[in-house]
Amino acid sequence: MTIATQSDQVTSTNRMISYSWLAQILMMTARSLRTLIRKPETFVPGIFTSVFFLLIFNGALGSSAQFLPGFEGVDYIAFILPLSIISAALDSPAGQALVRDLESGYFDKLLLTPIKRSALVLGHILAGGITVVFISLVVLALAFLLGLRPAAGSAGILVLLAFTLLIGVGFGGLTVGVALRTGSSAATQGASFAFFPFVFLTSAFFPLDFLQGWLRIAATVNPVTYILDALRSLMISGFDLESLFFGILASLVISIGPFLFAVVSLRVRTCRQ
Amino acid sequence: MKKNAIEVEGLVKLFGDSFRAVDNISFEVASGEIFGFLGPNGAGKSTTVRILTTLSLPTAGRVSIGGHDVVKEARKVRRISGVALQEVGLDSLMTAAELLLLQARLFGLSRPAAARRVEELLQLVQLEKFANKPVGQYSGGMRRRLDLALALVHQPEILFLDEPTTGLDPVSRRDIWAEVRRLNRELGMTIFLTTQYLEEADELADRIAIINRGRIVIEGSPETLKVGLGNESINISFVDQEAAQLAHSLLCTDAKQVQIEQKSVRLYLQGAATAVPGLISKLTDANIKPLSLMLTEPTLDDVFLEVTGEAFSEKALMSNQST
Repeated sequence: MTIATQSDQVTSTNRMISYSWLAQILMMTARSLRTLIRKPETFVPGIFTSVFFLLIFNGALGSSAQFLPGFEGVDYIAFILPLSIISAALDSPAGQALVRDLESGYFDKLLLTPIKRSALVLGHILAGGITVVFISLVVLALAFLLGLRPAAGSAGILVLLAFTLLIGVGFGGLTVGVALRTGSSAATQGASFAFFPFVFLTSAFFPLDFLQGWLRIAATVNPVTYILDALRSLMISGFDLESLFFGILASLVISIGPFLFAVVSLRVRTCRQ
Repeated sequence: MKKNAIEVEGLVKLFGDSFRAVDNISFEVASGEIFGFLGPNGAGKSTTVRILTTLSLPTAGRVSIGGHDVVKEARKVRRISGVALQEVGLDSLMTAAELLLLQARLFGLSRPAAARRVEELLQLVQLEKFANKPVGQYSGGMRRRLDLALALVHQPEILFLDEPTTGLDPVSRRDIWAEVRRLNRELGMTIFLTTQYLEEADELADRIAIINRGRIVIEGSPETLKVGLGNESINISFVDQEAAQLAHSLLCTDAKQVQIEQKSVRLYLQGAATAVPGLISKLTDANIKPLSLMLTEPTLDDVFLEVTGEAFSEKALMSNQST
């Protein structure tokens, strides 16, 4: 056994760098991704849910849809794919990853390093966003196998993935905020159920025009409806700037709130008592 | 004159409105010293460490670490402090090498410098063979050693160890002790250590403070404390409890304090050795035959009993008292 000598100490101290905020975030993102891969139960259920939506709704409604007014000539898979993608995007594993750090006490250990506080959570949020994009790619691959031919082509697919990343990162802040405030795995899991009303009280299965009563009202005020519409226009009719604009606006609406919630919760959590 | 590595003045920590976890404590730790903070569970040790390491804010009082204020200059304090907390906080999915590398980079080492440092530290705590195993598979002792290595990544001037050996087997405990001594001797590192083991404080610390219910009850080198108490003791054991009880009633006026514990009797007195012949003849006259007789120097346990009026061994989960 050897020990670092006094002279080692001088040289390595001299080499100390102050990493930029961005560099710290990237280090933490890489680390978060690495641990996510080792704990597949954090993202595999998300893949199942999305694939399930795609297969079940396509199988159950795909053939009958042809007889519904408004669906003439529309490929149901192109109609249902955005739902499947958004359900993935709303289910970022960032909160669960953060809960693990809080439960293990590793979060405290990191607080004792010169790391910027925000990098502690942004790493997980970004890794969550990347995971969500990865799940979308799996779903897309399956959709292509089932005959998807997006009207907006490969550029449309890139835009769709950008949407996924934006929502994954922004909405991921919701579970992260809950994780920071409760430190509880169960509560964080609970918060991810917020995705149900967002996904189902929408034009998820039929276009908005066909919905009636309260569901129609709920779907009209639900931002996810506009995101779905934007993504559907990409899949079914090509680039439609108006619906893309509203889609982006809606994505920002459901992203900024949760993201700010995460930022504030981080401040509350790391404020020393 | 050496500067003080740690200065604590009138430190108070309140939880809620009334619970004083730390109640107006003051002490100094000289640079290069091993300072032992000894006390039973719940005495306020961990709370103090959390304040000294910037994790928690003091309610009142002043704390400076290496000349930096823990409230106003937390970042500077973190740069020069290495911390191994009581609950070892490690991500069980990461390997030792990954944890050390990340820690080194967060402290500002370039990638190659960090990689070299990881090798050094793995060797130091003898975990090279397990470097690429997830920490979840580590034993308690291995986790402690890794935690110690993590605390050393940035070559801190002051090392804080909160109950570094609690729950470890004797061999792992000895390993940690050897390491702590070596860090202190070879690198001149100042070490602040909390413990609930009297033996540990006695073994490692140059100076100790005993804390009980949030207050420092006594402070000094282990030797001074024991000598100051001046209590030696004689432990006499008998064949059965009955004999011990007879002896107890016979000898209860022969010492400052006489205790009975199952089949043995313990007498606290000064000049124990010279009292032995008298005690033996007294017992022989009463026809009570002692099985064995042992003279013991005062222990920190005795010090604790003396200053707090409570037996340490009853409060600590486990005591290493040798009776």
